[in-house]
Amino acid sequence: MILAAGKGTRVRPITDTVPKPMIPIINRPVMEFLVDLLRRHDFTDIIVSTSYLSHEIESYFREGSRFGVRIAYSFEGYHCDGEVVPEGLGSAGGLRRIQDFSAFFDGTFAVLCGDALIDLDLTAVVAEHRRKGAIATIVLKEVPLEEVNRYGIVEVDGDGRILRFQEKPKPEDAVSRLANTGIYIFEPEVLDLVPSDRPFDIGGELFPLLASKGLPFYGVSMPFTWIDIGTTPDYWQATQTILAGGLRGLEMPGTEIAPGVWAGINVSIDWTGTTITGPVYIGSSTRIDPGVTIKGPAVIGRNSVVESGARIDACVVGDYTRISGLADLQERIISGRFCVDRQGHNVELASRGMAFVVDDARERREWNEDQEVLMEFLRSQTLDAQ
Amino acid sequence: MQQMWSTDMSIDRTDHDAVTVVRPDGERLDIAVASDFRNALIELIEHGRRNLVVDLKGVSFIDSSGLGALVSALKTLKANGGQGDVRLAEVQEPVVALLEIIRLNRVFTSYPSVENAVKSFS
Repeated sequence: MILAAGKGTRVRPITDTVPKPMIPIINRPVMEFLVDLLRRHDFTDIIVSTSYLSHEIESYFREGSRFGVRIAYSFEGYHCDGEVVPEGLGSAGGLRRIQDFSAFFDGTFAVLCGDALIDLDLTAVVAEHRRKGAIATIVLKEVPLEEVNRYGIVEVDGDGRILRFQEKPKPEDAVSRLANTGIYIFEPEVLDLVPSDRPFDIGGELFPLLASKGLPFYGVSMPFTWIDIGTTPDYWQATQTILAGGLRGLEMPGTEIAPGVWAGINVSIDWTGTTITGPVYIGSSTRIDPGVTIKGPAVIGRNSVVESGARIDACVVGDYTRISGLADLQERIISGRFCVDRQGHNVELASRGMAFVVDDARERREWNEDQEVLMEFLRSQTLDAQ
Repeated sequence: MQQMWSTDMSIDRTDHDAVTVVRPDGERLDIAVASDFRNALIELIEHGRRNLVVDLKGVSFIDSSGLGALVSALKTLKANGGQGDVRLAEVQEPVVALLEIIRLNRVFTSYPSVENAVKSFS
């Protein structure tokens, strides 16, 4: 099961139009990498809990045939006056509802969040889970001591049996450095402990229940890459890490058209006075004018335009985005709708009459006299500087 | 300190020898007040006040019109090889980001305090 029903409020404004599992990593949604991983480890029947902007997920994955898997959706909510009203059942409650509906979980199953990139050997995790005769296994990852306050920390004994949980402890209080990654392996029997009639959470309610009943409940720790997209800074950092080769098995898409520069098809680059320093990916149908500087790691989305004079450094630029030659953008996530820094602070350009700096590439706007004067001045400054 | 009144905003003006500090009174330096602000700055320049510090401590929102007012003042000063400058003090973070994105941070020097900005002219 992939949990994909959340609102992703900490990744706003990106998640204003896109649910977290659909946030693009280079040119594919986060969740696609997960589906691919699941398929490679023989988890080919996948149920996805959806709610917020579910259409974005369901229209991309449909029933999974294009991805070599079979996908079903568990929609948690209802419609009211054209709006989706989410009706969360909690992560365990959602599992129970599916089980009551169709007894879907008919053998060892995995539960993971749809918004993390992982290169985990799930086959090895399942083997360990079975070897121990576990009813539930949590995948743990060792994190630096100074970061334990960001995670649910888990204490295990010498056999890996779960002893207790600590939510975001201070480093001096932490009982271990093992973080709960939100990746779980379960046997169907575990669902007998989940009530059918009310919300129930895996971490907050099911796990303490398993521990208190002394059921075979284990943690498995192994080194793997775990890139979580919980916040806007996480997303920016994740793209930087992945472009630099930080996720094993993830290859740059497209064709390498210059050293360290990959591109899709129908890409128009005028190399006169243009410097692109990799790793950079440029999406299909995008135009790069002469006199542009792009410093990687960076992604430019599809159908975008980067005009002469623009400077882009370590940015994630979305699709259909026009970046004017007046722009000097560093460490930002940019689209026609927002321009956030790596901390997530947005500079609202359109509401400041500055859509001439960054805009949706499909817009055709007229400028007032003040804007024209300002643009002219800014242009003259850019020319002086060259 | 003098108050310069115009229709929609007041501007505090303080002279420190050859330097004049102007502080727009209001959170927004936007299309509603930019024209008055620009006129106030031009008026100062025409009366020989050519070393200007704009105290932006209270300003959290500047739009293209507000920036245009600052640019107008600078252009007026520099016209015909003129002396003088417009410098900024206590610029708030969102405004800093905006200036960086359009490279105006290289045109207008910003100082952490009004005092620093005033001193920079000597």
